[in-house]
Amino acid sequence: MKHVLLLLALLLLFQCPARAEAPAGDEEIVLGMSAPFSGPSRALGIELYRGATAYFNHVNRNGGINGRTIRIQAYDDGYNPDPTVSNTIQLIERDRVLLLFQYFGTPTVTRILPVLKRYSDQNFVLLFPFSGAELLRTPPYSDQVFNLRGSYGQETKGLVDNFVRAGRKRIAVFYQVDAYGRSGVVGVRQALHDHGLNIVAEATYRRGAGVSDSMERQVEILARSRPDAIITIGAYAACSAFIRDARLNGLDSIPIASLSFAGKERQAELLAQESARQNKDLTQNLVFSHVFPFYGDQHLPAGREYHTVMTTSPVVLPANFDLKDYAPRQFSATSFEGFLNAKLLVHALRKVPPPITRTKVRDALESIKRFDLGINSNIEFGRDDHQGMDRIFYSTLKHGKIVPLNDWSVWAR
Amino acid sequence: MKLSRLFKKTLALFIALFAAVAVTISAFSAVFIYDQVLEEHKSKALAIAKSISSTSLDILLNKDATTIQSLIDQLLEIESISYVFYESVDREIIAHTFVPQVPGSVLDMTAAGNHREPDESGDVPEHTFSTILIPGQGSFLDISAPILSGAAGSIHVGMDLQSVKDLIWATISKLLLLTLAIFACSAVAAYFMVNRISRPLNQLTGYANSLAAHDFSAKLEIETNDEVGVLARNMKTMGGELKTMITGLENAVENATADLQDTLNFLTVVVDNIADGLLVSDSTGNIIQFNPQICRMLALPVESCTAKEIAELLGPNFPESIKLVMETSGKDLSLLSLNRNTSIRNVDYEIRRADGTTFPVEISLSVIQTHKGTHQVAVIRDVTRRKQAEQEQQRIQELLEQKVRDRTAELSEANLMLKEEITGRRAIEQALASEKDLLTTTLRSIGDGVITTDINGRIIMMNPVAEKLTGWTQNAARGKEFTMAYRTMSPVPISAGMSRQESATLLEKEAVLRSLDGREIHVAQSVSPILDGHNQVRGAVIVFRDITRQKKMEEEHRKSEKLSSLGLLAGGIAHDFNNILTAVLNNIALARLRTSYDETVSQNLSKAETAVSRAQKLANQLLTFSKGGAPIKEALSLEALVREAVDFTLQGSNVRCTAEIPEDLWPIEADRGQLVQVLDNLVINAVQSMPEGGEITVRARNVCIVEEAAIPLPSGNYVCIEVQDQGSGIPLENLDKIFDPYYTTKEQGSGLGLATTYSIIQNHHGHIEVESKVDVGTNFTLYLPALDHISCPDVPPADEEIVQGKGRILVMDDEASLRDLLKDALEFLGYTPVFARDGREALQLYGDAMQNNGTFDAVIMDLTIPGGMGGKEAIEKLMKMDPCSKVIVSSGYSQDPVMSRFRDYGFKEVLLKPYTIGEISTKLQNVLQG
Repeated sequence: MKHVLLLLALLLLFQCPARAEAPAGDEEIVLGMSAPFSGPSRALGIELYRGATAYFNHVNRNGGINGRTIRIQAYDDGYNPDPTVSNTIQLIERDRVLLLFQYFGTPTVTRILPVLKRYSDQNFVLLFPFSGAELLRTPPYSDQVFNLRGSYGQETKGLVDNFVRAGRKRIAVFYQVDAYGRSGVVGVRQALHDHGLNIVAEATYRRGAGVSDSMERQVEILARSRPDAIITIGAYAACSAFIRDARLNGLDSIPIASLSFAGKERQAELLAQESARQNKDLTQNLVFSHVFPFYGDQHLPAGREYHTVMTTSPVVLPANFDLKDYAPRQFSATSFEGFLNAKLLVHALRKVPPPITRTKVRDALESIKRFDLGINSNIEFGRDDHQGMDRIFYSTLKHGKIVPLNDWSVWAR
Repeated sequence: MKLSRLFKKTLALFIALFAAVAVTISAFSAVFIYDQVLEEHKSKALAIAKSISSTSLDILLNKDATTIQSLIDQLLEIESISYVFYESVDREIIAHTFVPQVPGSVLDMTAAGNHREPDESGDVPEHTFSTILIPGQGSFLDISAPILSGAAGSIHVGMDLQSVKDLIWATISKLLLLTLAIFACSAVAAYFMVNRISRPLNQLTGYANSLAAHDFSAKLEIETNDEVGVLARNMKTMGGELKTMITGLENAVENATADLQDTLNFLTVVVDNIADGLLVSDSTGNIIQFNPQICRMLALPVESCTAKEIAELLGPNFPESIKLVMETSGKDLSLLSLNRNTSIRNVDYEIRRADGTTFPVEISLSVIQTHKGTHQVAVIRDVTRRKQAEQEQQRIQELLEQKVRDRTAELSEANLMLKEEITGRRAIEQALASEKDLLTTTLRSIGDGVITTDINGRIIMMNPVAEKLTGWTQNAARGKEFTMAYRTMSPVPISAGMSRQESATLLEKEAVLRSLDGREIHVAQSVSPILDGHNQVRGAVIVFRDITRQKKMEEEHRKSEKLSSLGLLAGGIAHDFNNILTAVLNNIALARLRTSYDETVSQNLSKAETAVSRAQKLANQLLTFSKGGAPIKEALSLEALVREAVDFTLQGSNVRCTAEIPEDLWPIEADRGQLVQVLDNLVINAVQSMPEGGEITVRARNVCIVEEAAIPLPSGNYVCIEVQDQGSGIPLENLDKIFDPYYTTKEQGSGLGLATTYSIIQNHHGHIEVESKVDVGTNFTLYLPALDHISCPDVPPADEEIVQGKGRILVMDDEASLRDLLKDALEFLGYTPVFARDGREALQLYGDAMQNNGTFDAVIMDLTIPGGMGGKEAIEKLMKMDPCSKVIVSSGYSQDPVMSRFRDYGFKEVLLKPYTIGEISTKLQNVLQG
C-alpha cells in the first residue's frame, strides 16, 4: 500500500504541468503540514501542531491577516519518508496550500527536498521544518527552506564543546541509523575533529524502536570504550530506553546528552515512569540541548505570551490524528517551537501587501532583520541566509523537572 | 482380508518407485531452487548496487553522509536486503545501516580491501561477491559495486544467506510434505483398490474349485461391473449351465431307457398286429422272428415257422432282385458295394400256401447290419384285394376321360361367341369417347359461356368462358346450386317439367349477370333441357354471351343517330346563316376601314362586330355540332396545346390546374381549333362546377385499346385525356343527357357546349366518357386516335395580320354580294381581282389569261356552285391546264371531305366561310409565298 501511494505520488509529480503561481484562496491562508500524528513520535507532531495552531487561532480571533484567517492542513506521515512525499504532493496539487509549514523529522524532510525542487516554478517554500539536518541549510536545497531552529550541527557542536571544555574528551555516540542519526554523527565527528578528537564508539538502533525495547547491546558496545560522555541522536522513546539500560548496566554516572529533536519533556516523562518501574532514579546526569529558550521562562516576553495563548486559545485537534491514550500537554518545548514558528510567519505575512503570493511571503521573510520574537535573540534572514537562529540552549533534569543548564562544571574532570 | 501375492508384489514395487521419484524430485528441486534463489538474490543486489552507484553519483561524490544515509535507508525496505553501506575511497564507512554497530567482519573486509585490487588483467573488477559471517547474525552475501571504477568508493549490499537457506528448506519441506501426502493417499487408495480387486478374485478361485469338485451349491457374490464382475457372472452362468447339463444328461439316460422299453413293447404289439406278414432271419437265412400274420397268411402252424429258412417258407421262385439281396446277406457287405442297410421294396410275387393255393403278394426285403450281425427282414403283404380294386379304377377312369373330351368341345364354341361380342362393344366405346372429346373441345373453344346442370339445377360442367364471366371456377362451382354461380335478375327455372320448346331460340333472352367480383355483365342467354333416350329431362344447358360491348355500341349508335338528325337541321340553318354573317362582318370591316374614324360610328361598328362575332361563334358551334364542321386535321402534339388551352381558360379564375402529361405522349391528328374548343368546354364546365374554387387535374396518357375493351372504339393506339374536377358533380339521372344539344342546367348556358364537344370527338373518330359523383367531382375522359410515327411540327397559328400584296386574283363565287365584298377587300389589300360566277367561267378566264401570258397569281374558288361547276370539279381541270396554279378553296360546309383533305384535290389553302379580311390576307400570303 505504501508503495502504491508513493507510486501515485510520483505519477502526480511528473504528470502535472507547471502551474503559474496563483494567489491563495480569498478566505483562508492554508498552510500544509506533514508530521507524525500517530506512532511513537506522534507527541512531537501533535504538540508542534498545537503550538502553531493556538497562535494562529489567536491571530484569527483578532482579525487575522487583513481579514484573512490562517489554517494548517495537516496530514499524518507517522515519521516515515514515503507518506511524507505523498502528503506533500497532495498538499501542493490538491489542497493548493500557500506554503509548506513546520514539517517534522530529518529522514522525512530530506526526502521532500527534490519534490520542492520540482515545484520551484510555483515558488513553493518549506517554512521552519522541525529538523536540524545540514542538508536543509546547504545548497542546493537551502534556497527553498527557511529554518528558524538551529541545526543539529550547531547542537552537537555546542554539546561537544561543552563536554570537552569540562574535560570529557572520550565521547561516544548512540544514534538512530538513518539520515537524522547520520547527520548528528557527522556533526559530532566534525566538532570532535575541531578539537583533534574522534568518536570513541558508535552504536545504532533502528527507527521506530520503543521504550520497551532493550538497548543493552548498544550500552555494552559503548561501555567497552569507557566513554566520558554519550551523545544520543534519536527519538525520545529510544533515547529513554538507552538511558535506562545505560544506567542499569554500569554507565550510571557519565552524562548522557540528547538533541532537541528527542523532546525533553516526553523523555523526562518516560524516564520518570521507567525510574518507578526499575526502582532506580534514571533522571540524573542528563543534558538536553535545545534550539529555543525554556518555554517556562516567564522573564521572556515570548514565554509569557506563549502561556497566555496556550491557555486562552484552545486547539481542536483534527480527526485524522491518533489521539488514543494521548493526553495533550498544556505546555511543552515542542508546542513552544510551533508557537514561535507561527509567530514569525504571522510577522512576515503582516508585511505582505495583499494579495498574498508565495513570492511576496518569501520576500517578506528575507527582509526580516534583527527581529526578536520575544526570546531575547535576534532573528535575521537574507537573500542567501535562510537560517533564522544560531543559538543553542541547554537544560537538565532536577528532581524530575526540566531546568535550564548553565553550569557544566558538575561534570568537570 | 488376505492380499493376493501378485498384488503384494505390485504394491511393494509401487511404493519403492514412488519413494525413488520423491527423493529424486526433492533433491533436484533443492539444488535447483538453491541455485535459482541465490542467483536471483545476487542479481537483485547487484542491480540495486549498480543503480545507486550510477544514479546517485553526485550525492556519493559530495560525501554528504546524511543524504547518503537517506539513500541507503530506503534499500532496507527491500526484502532480504540485510544491510547497505557506503565505503569511501579511503576505506572509511561513511554511512551504514548496521545495528547496533558495524560488525568486525565487515570492518575486516573493508580494511583488507582486496576486493578492489585490480585483477590479473589489470582492470578493476566491476563488482565482487563475497560471503561474510557476522557473529550472532549469520552469514551474508556481500555484493560490492565500485563507484567510478572505485575512484569514488563503493556501495555494499548485504543479502541474508540464511533467508535464502530458509526459503530453500521451507520449499523443500513443503515439497516433501506434499509428496508424502500424495504418497500416503495413493498408498491407501492403492491398498483399497488392490483389496477390492483381490477379494473377488479369491472368491472366483474358490468358486472355480467348488465347480471342479461338482459342488454346484457354492455361492459367488460379486456384483461389480468391471472385468472381474463380468468374469464372475460368466462363471456363475457357466456353473449353472454345467449343473443343468449334467442333471439333464442323467435324466435323459433314465428316460431313454424307459422309452426303449416302451418302444420295444409297442413294436412287439405293432408287429404282432400288423396286417402284413413279417419275417426276420439271421445271416444264414434262418428265421429268428416272425409275426402271427405270416402264419395265418401261409396257413401254417406257429411251430413250423420257427425252424425254417426264408426260402424254404416262401418258395424257391423269388424274383431275381430278391434273390440277389438274399444272397448278399452273410457276406461282407462292404465288398459288394452295397449300403450297410440294403433294402428292396414292394416286389410283386406269388406265394404258394401249404394247401397249394397261390395269392399275390408284395415283398419288401431289408438287410440290416447291427452289432449282432446281418439280418434280413422280409415284409409280405397280401395284395389280392388291391389288385382287384385297381382293375375297377382303370375302368372308371376311361369312362371319365371320354366325358371331359365332350364338354371341352362345347366350351370352345361359347368362348368364340364371347370374343366377337367384346370386339363390337369396344368399337362403340371408342366412337363414344372421340365424340365426347370433340364436344368438350368445342365447348372449351366457343365464345359463349356454357353451364350444364343436373335435374336439380346443380352444376356439372362450366366452360372457360362461363368461368370467366361468372368468376367461378368449374371445380369450385361443381355440385353447387346453379343460381349461385349464375346470378341474374330473373333466375332461369330448371325443372323436370322443362320442354324443348321452352328454349327453342338460342340466346334470345337478355339478362344482367352479376359475377363473383361484383361486375354486372349484360348477357344473352338460353336454357335447353338435356334429354335422355326416353325423352326424359336429365338436366339443363345454359348458354350465355357477354353482350355488354354490343349494348354500349348500340347505345352510342342511338345517340349518334339522334344527334345527326338534329345536326342536319342545324347545319342547314348555320350554313346560310354563316354566309350572311360573312357579308355583314366584312361590310363592317370595310366600313371601319373607310370611315374617318368617327368615334361614335367606330363604337357602333365595334358593337355590331361583337354581336356578329357572337352570332358567328354560335353558328360555328351549330355547324360543328351538326357535323358541319369537319375537322381540318393536322398532326399535333398535345402537350403544348393542352397546357395553352387550359391556362388560357383558367385565367382570372380561382381554380388551379395540375397537368400530368407525359413527354412521350403520342402525337395525334386533329383540328387544332376544335380541340381547343373541346378543352375549353370541359374546363369551363369544371370551373363552373366549382364556384368556390378548387383544382382541376388534366391527365394525358397513351392507351392501347383492344377488341374486348369496354370502350366502343376500334382496336388501336389512342391518346387519352382526362379532365377531372372536384366540383358538385352530375346527378346520375342527368348523366346520359349531358351530351344532348340544348340540354343545360346552367342559367346562361347554350346547351351546345358538351353536345359540340361530343360531336367534335365523334368527328375525330374518338370517344368521350363521363363519370361523376355528386359532391365528389366529375371526370371526362377523351380518347383520340394516335398518329403513328409522325413527329408533329407544333407551330401555333400566327396572329391574324392584314398584309397587303400584289397580283391578279381570280375569284369564283356564285353569290353576287360575296363577289362585291371580295372585290372591295382584295382591292383594299392591293390585289387585282377578276370574278367568275362558276367553274366554267373561271376556267375560261384562266385559259384566256394563260394564252395572253398574264396568268393569275392565285385563285379563290367556292367549293359548291348550285346548278353549275363547283370548285371540286373545276380544280381537276385547272390543274391539267396549269399544275402550278395556286388555288384556295372556300366553303361554308366545313364538314365536306374536300375541305378537310383539300390538298388531296390540288388546293393549296382553305378559306372557311365566314372569313375575315385578315384571313383572306393571310391565306393569300401563304399561297403566294409558299
